[in-house]
Amino acid sequence: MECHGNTGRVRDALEAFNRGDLDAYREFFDDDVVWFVRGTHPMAGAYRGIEALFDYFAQARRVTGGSLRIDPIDIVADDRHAGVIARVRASRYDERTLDIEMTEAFTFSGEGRVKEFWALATDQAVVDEFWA
Amino acid sequence: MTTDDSDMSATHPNAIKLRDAIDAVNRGSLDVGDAFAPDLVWRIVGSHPLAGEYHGLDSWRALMRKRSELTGGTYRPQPQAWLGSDRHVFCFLRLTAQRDDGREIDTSHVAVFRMGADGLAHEFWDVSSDQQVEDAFWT
Repeated sequence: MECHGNTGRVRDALEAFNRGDLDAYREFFDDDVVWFVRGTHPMAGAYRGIEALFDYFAQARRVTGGSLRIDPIDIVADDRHAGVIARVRASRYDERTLDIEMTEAFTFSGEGRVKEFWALATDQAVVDEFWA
Repeated sequence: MTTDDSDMSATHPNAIKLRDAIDAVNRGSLDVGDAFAPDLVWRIVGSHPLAGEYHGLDSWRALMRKRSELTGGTYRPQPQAWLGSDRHVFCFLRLTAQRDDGREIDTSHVAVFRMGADGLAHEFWDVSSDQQVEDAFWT
C-alpha cells in the first residue's frame, strides 16, 4: 500500500464504492472522519465518525437502488491531500436522474486514511432536487 | 505501481506555475498575465455579495481589491499543498480573515484552476468546507 500513494488509494476506494463493496470501502477511512455534504436537501450536513458516515453511504445507496457511481476524471494527490474531479451518476425509483461533475477534496491521516472530505457540484440546485 | 498511481502532483509544472503566481498575488501583485488566460472566468460560489462569475483579468483585479477592502487587508490564504495535472491545479489552503465589525473566518478550502493546453489558467473555483460560515462572513 505504501508505494501506491493517495492517487491510487482514491482510485481503489472509488472502485470499491462503485461495485458496492462497502466493507472494502470502509478500509479507506479514519475512525474520526468528518464528511461534509453540501446543499439544502435532507442528507446535507456534516457526518462525524465512520459509523455516521457509513449510515449515510448506506442510505445514499438505498435510495438510488445501488446505482450511485463516482468515476474520476482527474486525480491529484500528495501524502496528505487528494483533489478529484469526478462524474457522479445515479437514478432513483421515481426516475429522477443525476449526472453531474463534482470537485472533491480529501485530506488523509499519516496512515493514509481519509480524515476529511468536502465537495462542490457544478450545479447545486440539480443535486438538491435529486436528493430531496 | 503504474506511473499514474505515483503522487507526482506536487512537482507538476502547472502546480509550480500557479503556486508562484498566487504567491505574488498574496504579496500584493496583480500582474498574473503569464499564468492566467485573458478570458479567465473566476467563480465565487455561495450566497453573498461577492458570489458570482468574474470574466477577464480587469474584473478579477477589481474583485481582489474589493476583497482586500472588505477585510482591511487581513485576507490571508495559507496554502498547504499545490497539486497539479495537465488539466487542473488544486490548492489546499486554510483561510483566515476579519471584518471591521469583528467577524472572523477560519476555514479549509480547495481552490481549483482549470488549465488550458496553452498552460494558462482559464477557470477558477473555490470550494469551502463550510459554505454557511463563508456566506455569513461575506454578507
